[in-house]
Amino acid sequence: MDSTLLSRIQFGFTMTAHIIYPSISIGVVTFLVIFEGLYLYTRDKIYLSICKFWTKIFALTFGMGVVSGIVMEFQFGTNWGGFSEKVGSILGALFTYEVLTAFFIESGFLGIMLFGWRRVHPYLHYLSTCMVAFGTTLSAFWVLSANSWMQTPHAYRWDGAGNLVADGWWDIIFNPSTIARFTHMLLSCYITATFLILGISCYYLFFNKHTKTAKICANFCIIAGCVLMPTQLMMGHHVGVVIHEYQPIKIAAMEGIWETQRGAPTILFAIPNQKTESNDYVLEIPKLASYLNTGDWNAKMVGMKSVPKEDRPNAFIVFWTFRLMVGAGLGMLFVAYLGLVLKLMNRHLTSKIYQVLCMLASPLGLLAIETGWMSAEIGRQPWAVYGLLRTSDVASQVSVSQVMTSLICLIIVYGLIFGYFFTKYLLKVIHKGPDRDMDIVEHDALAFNYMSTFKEDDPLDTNKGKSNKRKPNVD
Amino acid sequence: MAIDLALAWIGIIGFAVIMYVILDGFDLGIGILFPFFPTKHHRSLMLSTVIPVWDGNQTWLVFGGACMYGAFPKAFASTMPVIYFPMIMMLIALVFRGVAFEFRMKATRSMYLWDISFCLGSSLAAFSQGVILGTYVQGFGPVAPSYASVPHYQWLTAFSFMTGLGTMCGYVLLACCWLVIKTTGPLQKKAFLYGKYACIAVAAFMLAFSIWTPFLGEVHFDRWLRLEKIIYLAVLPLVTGILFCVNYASLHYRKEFLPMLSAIGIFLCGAVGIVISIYPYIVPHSMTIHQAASPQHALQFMFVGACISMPVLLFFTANSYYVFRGKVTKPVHY
Ligand code: HDD
Ligand code: HEM
Ligand code: HEM
Repeated sequence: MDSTLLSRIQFGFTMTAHIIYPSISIGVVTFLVIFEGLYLYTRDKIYLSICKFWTKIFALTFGMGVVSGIVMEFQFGTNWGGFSEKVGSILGALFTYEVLTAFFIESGFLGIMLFGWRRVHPYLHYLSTCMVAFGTTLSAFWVLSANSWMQTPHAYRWDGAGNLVADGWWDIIFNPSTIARFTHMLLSCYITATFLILGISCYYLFFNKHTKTAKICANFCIIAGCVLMPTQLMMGHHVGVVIHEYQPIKIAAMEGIWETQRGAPTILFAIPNQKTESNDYVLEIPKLASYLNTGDWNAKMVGMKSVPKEDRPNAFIVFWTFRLMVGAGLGMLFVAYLGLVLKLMNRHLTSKIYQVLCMLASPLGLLAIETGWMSAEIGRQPWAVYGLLRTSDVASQVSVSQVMTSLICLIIVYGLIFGYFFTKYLLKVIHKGPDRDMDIVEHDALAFNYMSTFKEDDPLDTNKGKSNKRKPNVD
Repeated sequence: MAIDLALAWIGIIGFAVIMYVILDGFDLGIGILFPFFPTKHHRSLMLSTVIPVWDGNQTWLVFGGACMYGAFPKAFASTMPVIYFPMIMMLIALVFRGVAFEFRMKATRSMYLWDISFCLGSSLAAFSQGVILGTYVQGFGPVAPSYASVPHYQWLTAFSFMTGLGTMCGYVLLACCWLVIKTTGPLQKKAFLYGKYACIAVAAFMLAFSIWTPFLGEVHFDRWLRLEKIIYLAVLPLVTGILFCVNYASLHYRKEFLPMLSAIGIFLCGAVGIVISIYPYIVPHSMTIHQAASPQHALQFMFVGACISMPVLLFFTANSYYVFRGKVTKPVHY
């Protein structure tokens, strides 16, 4: 075990944990923007109760995203010193912009969004929700821009000392894959949230709880799924085309292509074998890969064997994580359209089988996000910056004992906090569910504390709201 | 006239660090104080004073880190691996501290668990930050460390442990001053009392720090105890001493805002002292600010963004404090 390998495991592990929370947060806060807007527009309390409930879940995931994100940032310095030194003037600048334009906006309005219901005018509250949504989206943009630059570096120069410096900021931020990958990622977040909300709503429907709110959410999510899924399919295809152009070896690994060939097949099932440099147990559709990646059935696809062994990523992992992502995507597409068909027959909210199916499908978005990132990141190996800097050259040579200790600590802490307790409290919130009757709220301050602070006066009752503003804390 | 952008960035980073220390300082200090406030009601109130703003406070740390990374990548790459262990310790501690806010509100039976998590997380985070500070002020030897051959356990010294404990006391002082502003009744009374203890402890640690620093090495000695400098450097201890007196007295006579203001003054004096020990180096005493800086165009690019967004961000921050102004007499919930 050398410290480089340990650092890679540690970075991958903490990143895999981190990405869960931002994805859910970005999706759910967008959902909240829509529903709080509906509430302000219709003034129907049912939307408010939906907002309040999902705000609780949002607060939980957002908190996890923040604490796991800080770990990510500082690991660039502690574990990837060479990386920081050689590309810091480029990526560091993008991360600085991320903090300046995204994190401060999020954190500046988060408090008001969560705790400000009675303190500010409803429209200002809505503005806060929108700002938080805007901030999270921007932060996704910056981090994807940075990551895309690592995948498809552009507009750089080598300075005399072996460091990469910028040569045109616009082209760095909007490097060849930024737009495609950002859109793909943003859609993933929406999809993830959509299917989580759909699954949870169907859970309520299944047990006949909170049916009124659950129906609204489920209907909304089925429509959203029907719109989002085909869009994502096209976007994913587009990402593939871009990546094929700039990272041919990664696509070769994703498609499981060893030999450079014309009319390459799409492999449905295979076990890529690194030793024999071929696939075992192959089930394939002829020529489809060439068509999907280039639009020409007989186009040439570069194979993994065209580069030396040490320049190839792990074929098995990249191949299978990619298939899991696409499979999850197709699965969700099916669930959404099945819902649409049932809806047209007016059966979708009564069919127990469909409800169970939705519950089973609810983690598919997260699965696709995790496996998508894994295939993108592991497919980039052995490069930290594709084609320019090798991962093994840019790791900090911290003593193995220190990295081993930190890795073990992180695994234990993450397992405990993010694995056990987060799940426990999430399930607890879901189990309690949204509130149907606004009057119950007052009596059950502990369970519905979010609503209890609110109930004492209606935020839309502006006169009262104003008088209350004068004496915010002294109730 | 061209501005020296590297210096401007040091200014911005310095500002971020000070904002962080003061703002997150009182958050962390409240956690350290938890054992001294055993009643559940008091703890809920104390947490309620910071829950709406803690995320923003912590963002200053993220900001400082990102600026360091972008503007001084060589310094970031050189120092971070050396402080690997305290850094990871701080990050893990911040995880425990940060999740406690959320989990405590959702917990019923296991609330005590999150009180412990909040207290230990805050304490360890504060201590690690102090250790990092101590390691940094100590310096990293005559040549700047490199990521390719990282010196091990340079952070493990008596001096850095002293600064670790000192930082904890400093944060407690800030927390007491914050509670004085935000609370009433018995809770506030206790804050006045503990504030006075903390004030004395911080004074003792700062004294120890000041006496110890010149003897850390030749360079430090040169800076502080050469005769020609001693005259004007004496101003700093003098001002700090006065501020300590003001702080103690204002806590004693139960003023509400003066304790916080004087405590901030004390921290600023400490910061000036550290700058005197280190300037113009960024990795003391082997790599100067200009040697570590990113190319000019990168600094420029970031600077434009900072100039445009910093005023807006400060306004947002101020706004969020404004919305949650006033005394907290009832635990907040969402
Ligand atoms: C798709 C989006 C996405 C991706 C790929 C990442 N993040 Fe993230 N991150 C967010 C989206 C996000 C967010 C939604 O904006 C969060 C969640 C909670 C928050 O405050 O912002 C966040 C939080 C967050 C924070 C805490 C900010 C705060 O205190 O407010 C830091 C320091 C990072 N992230 C850093 C990283 C790094 C170094 C990453 C990769 C190497 C990374 N994130 C990947
Ligand atoms: C958010 C989802 C992400 C996931 C799940 C993820 C996952 C991973 C994994 C599994 C590795 C280890 C790869 C290996 O060693 O084989 C890795 C490495 C790495 N990733 Fe990511 N990553 C994500 C996003 C990012 C982003 C956004 C960036 C940068 C801006 C980034 C930068 C890196 C770096 C610097 C390494 C370490 C060096 C390397 O192995 O190349 N990652 N990531
Ligand atoms: C169904 C058809 C899909 C196709 C053809 C597709 C295609 C791709 C490709 C080629 C990449 C690699 C990009 C790279 O290497 O940089 C990728 C990455 C990724 N995919 Fe998909 N995808 C699909 C569906 C999905 C779905 C449904 C989700 C999530 C809900 C998803 C989430 C991701 C994520 C998070 C990444 C990594 C981030 C990135 O590289 O941009 N994908 N996808």
